[in-house]
Amino acid sequence: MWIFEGERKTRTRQGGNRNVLPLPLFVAGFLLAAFALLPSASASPARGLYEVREIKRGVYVLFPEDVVDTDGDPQFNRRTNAGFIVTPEGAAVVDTMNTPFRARDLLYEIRRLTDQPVRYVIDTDAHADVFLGNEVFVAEKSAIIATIPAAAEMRDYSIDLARRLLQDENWRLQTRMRGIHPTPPTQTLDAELHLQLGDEQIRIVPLSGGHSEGDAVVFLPLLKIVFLGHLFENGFFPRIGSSDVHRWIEILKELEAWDAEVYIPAHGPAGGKKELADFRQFLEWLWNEVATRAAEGKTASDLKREMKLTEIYRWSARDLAPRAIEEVYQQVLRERPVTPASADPADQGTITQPTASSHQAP
Amino acid sequence: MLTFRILEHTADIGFEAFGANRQEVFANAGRALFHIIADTKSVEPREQVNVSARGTNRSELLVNWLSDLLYLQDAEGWLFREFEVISLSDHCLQAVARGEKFDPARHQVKLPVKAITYHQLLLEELEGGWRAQVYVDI
Repeated sequence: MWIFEGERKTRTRQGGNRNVLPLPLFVAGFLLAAFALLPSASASPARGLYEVREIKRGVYVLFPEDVVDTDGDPQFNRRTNAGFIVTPEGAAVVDTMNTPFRARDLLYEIRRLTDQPVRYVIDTDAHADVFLGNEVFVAEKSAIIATIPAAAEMRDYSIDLARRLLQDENWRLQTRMRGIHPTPPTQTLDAELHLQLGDEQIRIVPLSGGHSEGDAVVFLPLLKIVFLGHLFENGFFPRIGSSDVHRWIEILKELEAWDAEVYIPAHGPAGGKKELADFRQFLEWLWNEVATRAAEGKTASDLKREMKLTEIYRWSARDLAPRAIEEVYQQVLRERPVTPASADPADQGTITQPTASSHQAP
Repeated sequence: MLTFRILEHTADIGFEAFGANRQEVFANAGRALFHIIADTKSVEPREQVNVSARGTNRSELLVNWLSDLLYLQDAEGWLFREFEVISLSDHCLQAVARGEKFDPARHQVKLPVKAITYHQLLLEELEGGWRAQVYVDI
């Protein structure tokens, strides 16, 4: 029998959710379980690629190991954290990870704790690594909730995925995406939504326009926990993409002021206000550094070569570091377009106008 | 304990991999493959990649596991140094390979491998362990 590390670390059970076994049955069950856990000649204990931790009473996070997946969408091949809230009235899930296969691990962990239905699944944005597991919860008859822009972005993603699959000449993407069905939300919100689940208050707060248009955070005010999705990366380089970095920084400042103690990122361990501020300062530093160097006439290629981002920040998802520089560079150019100095088409538009950006070391 | 040994052949190259159990022999086969492909001493286990393989029997599973690793090297530029088999049955394997993407400034490719072959393929239990023999097409 394989013993998963994640199972070993999930120890807390919700009282009142299961019937108490009579003592003889309990003893028999204990002996059977002890026998099953003995190592056999043909199999040695293996470990899982995640661990589940109870953050506060009834609130759990599945923290995956930093693994690059070879199934699912290669553009979203890193597993995200997924949260779940267990109450005597039902459970709620925050983000369903990057494939239904990972989401089944998540459902398995929930089922180890409760037989109650999963009433709500909340997607914090429309990136495939937080919603491709949604389909697992259709059978659970869960309400799948996201913001209106996130729902639109998920539809766009599905259309784009179909196009990519048609263009996939070596069938690799089709092989990777076999058995995966992007599943959009069943309910959308355009304003803050309050849910009551047992004694737990769950607030879904849209905070759009920073990391993406469809962002929402999930706030548990009684327990002072916030699930931030991709708005917060703890020890991982972020996917900047078409994010509005200024708005993103403003949102993070706003979140730092909330009456919260625990901030759950998309990747990396849970953080507090300090870790959230560190990430916000990284975005500020990155912007200032790119803007300053761009104003000196440097190209994106120069910046990627000179900035040594992965040496300054020893974070995971190193492949995203040069992309982050490139993407911030393009945003800087959009704000202050000037003539390029490079013949490289990748370096279109170079700033010559000096800026007053501060240069703050991380 | 010897983990693997390279076997010279007239046209191809192969290896024997050893392990106390099947998990180890699969992991050591991965090590041997990348020892042929590159100087793995310069490869840092910075990233870990999840690899799943299937096969209709144990031998095919070994070939498919190595073929998947070879695909990741050839198509996506991964060089691996460490291998950990998470779960293994007769038909299915889940493993983590640790390494990094090829960097021409730091990494040296020794011998490009085209394919894993079934030529003289062997996976056998010996007294006190397992042995695999694999030849690759170069």
